[in-house]
Amino acid sequence: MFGFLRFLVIGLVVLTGLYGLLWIYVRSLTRERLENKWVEEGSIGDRDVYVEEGMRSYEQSFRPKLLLLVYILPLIAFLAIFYVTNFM
Amino acid sequence: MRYVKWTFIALILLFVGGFFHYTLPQHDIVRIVNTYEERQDLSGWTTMFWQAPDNGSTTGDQTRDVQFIQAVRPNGKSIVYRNEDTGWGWPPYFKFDTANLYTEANDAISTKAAPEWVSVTHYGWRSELLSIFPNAMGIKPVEGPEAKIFPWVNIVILVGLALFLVTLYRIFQQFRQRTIDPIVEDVEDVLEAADQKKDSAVDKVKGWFRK
Repeated sequence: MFGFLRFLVIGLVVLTGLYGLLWIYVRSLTRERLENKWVEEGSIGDRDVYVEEGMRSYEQSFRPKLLLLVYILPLIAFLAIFYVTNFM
Repeated sequence: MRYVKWTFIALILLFVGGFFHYTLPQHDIVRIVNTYEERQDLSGWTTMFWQAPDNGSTTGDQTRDVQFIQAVRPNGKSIVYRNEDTGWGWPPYFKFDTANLYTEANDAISTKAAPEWVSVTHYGWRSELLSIFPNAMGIKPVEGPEAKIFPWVNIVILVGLALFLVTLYRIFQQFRQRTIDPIVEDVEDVLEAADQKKDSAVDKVKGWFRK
């Protein structure tokens, strides 16, 4: 049982670290894209307002929730390995 | 210096390659001839080629009974596998069915006269010198000694790992471009401004003496 707890804790810590990294990364990419889009559209209005508005609509969209795949995919991989090793 | 560098790189590559060769699953086409259980007194650095006590067949110290599976390859050479739970430990195979595998191995025993060929999935190395054995993971019957098993699992794992490393690199690039570079530029601007200030101050002083 101790082994299982250790596996669970290490897994959660590693995946949460990865989730945080990807969270920052995708936000940074979105911000960069919005900045470029603002220039493409002719630099109309205040740049910061445009970018913040775009970030808010990004936060409300489905895309940030895709980051939860960081937890879901390893879980699926674990279940698949567990099944193949022990029950196939 | 160049030799030192390349030796270092070669050693790292050898270590990484060895790690994957040891850890990733492989398939052997063999004929199982016998199984046995033997007391093992594990000590020294080769202990790392066996499961940790809390994953193994017994708990406590490094003395325990370990199951083995003896097999013969199509070319007549022998190979012996150990049969140990990996449990929740490393490598992450989550093997808990050691007793079942032992039963399957015993069921698959065949003679030279009427051979029954099986594919043994395993990880690890056999070294006679170090007395280490690959850990058997699964047994599947195959048609004959020429059967080939395509390493799908290894390809998926290695491609996934490569994608992961590329993603990490891209994250670092983005971080450098968006966070570090602007800071460096700011610092450069400040230094430049200070430099100009100093220059103008020096000119001013020079100006005094020119008069």
